Amino acid sequence: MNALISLLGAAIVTFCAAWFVVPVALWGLRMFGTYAIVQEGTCRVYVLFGKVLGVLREPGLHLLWPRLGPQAALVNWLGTCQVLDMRLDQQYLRSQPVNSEEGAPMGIGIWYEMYISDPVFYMFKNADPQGSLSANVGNATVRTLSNLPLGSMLEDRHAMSQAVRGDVSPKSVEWGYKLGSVYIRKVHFRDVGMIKQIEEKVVNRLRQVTSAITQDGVNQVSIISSTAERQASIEFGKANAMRPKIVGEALQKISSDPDVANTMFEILELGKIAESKARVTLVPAQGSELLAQLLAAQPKSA
Amino acid sequence: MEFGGTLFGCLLGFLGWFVIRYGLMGFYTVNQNERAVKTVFGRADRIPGVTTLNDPIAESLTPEERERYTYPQVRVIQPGGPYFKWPWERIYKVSIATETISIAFDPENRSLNQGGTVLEAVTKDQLNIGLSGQLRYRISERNLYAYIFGVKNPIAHVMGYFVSILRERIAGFEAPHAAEEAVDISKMAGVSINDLRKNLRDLNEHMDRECVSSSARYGIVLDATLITSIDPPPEVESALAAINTAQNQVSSEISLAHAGADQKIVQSRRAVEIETLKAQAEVEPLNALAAQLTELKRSGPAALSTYLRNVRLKVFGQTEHAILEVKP
Repeated sequence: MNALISLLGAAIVTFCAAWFVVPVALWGLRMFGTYAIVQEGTCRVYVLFGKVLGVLREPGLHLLWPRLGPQAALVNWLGTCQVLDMRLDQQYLRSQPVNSEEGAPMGIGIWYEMYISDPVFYMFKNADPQGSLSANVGNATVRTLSNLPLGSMLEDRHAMSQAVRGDVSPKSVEWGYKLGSVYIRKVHFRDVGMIKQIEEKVVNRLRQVTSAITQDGVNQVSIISSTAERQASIEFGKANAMRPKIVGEALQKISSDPDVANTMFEILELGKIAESKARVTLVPAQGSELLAQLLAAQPKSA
Repeated sequence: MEFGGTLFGCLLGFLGWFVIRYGLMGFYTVNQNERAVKTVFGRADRIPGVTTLNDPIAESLTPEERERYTYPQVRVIQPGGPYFKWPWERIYKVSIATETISIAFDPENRSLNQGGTVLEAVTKDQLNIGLSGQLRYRISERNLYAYIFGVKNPIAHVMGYFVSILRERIAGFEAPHAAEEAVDISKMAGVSINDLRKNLRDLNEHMDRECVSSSARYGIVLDATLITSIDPPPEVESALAAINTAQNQVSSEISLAHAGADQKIVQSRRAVEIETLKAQAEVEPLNALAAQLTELKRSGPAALSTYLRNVRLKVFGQTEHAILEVKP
């Protein structure tokens, strides 16, 4: 029974202890420089007594003794191990003040990427490489982009980015810090009054356009109406000419036979006289002209 | 005997710890919307000799960019499981589901851009405008290394890249003019805000095209750019509204003028028809009578005069007063 208790006791104690002992043992091995694990996107720089003992750039498991020598056992105690983040980083410098060629106070927002290219240079060449790079980019932006014409400052951003990049890159390489892509992210007016003036200019332009549109509309309406008037006048003219044309043609055809024409008009005249119900007075054909005139002058009631 | 039992107990305890720590705790699964990458002693499980430059996603990179954005290709663990990993291995899981983010979102300072809702930009005519919309993106399965290990804050990079391109495009945007297109006064005025609004689709497509390299650069695929509104300052908006009102009014007046003109032209054409018919109606009895008289004339030389005398008789019936010449 005692043997079973001691077996179980030993098993439980060992089980619990293993959770602490194994990590502590591994930590001890790491502290004595037996091995090191370099994570992806990081780099380890070992410095002992002011000298760089080694740089581990490749991710994975590294046995330090064969790489760094016996000093590896001391480096974690008497030296330092700096873990650097080698991933691509970015920074946005907002509203860098520049003036355009015309003197307009402009703000440039410049966004850039950077990464560590040389860990040793990065650590020792410059106390604040990130700050220095930022200052350099800001300075290059102001220097390169000042006095550019306003139009190109607003539109030709690619060229501006290239100019800043070309200006900054050589110096940053010296500090083991490389510049990646550079983009002019924002170009804006710093002066509120100027923004208002531009708005007013655009509003005035728009009002001008509005009246131009209205005037153009009136003109178009006039053109449409007068074109229609012209076409309608032509048609109405045609309409007025239709009666003389048709009647004239018909009469001309009828007049080709004078007997028929005379007879026809005689019949029509007689027909109209008959239709009118007027009182008819017959006078002799060879009678006195005076008689006809007297009869015509006679009052209706008589 | 007791020492042997204790030793055996220790062995058993260690074995139990080993099984749990290195066995049971090593199992994991990958969800349907997830992809995973494994690292062994901190090193990603790479495909030897292959980088993103071997993948078509890198085609849009310039030669100079190809040097900078070179990432190793890693083995991607597909959804499913259970998979097993050793304690010295680590699993990085990412969701590849499509996500949406405001185009005004600033990952470094969320309170900027009016709380991440409106992105300011300057147009070609130097006017400050506000843009709102969304950016749809997903993590690229073909460049997981860049997203997980290569870039510190991929979203910040994507937003910086996207916003730079968008603002550059807006600053230089001019509507494409078709040769056969009628002259539009509002276009002649150089009011690019109108051009932008009218060509929103072009703008979105341009953004999609220009940002296609984001996959190779940062491991994020820009699925779509959805600019929903472009807002100028209130006074400009009101002036633009006046333009639209004037345009509507003009088009309404032109429509009315067209209608009036059409009516007048139709009326005049009808007048021609009416007059023609009237004249034909007037002529028809004459033609008929003339035809009849011609026919009558053919029947004999005295037929016409005889008929005429007959017609006269009707008039004689109405005669009230007649003076007759009598032969002595």
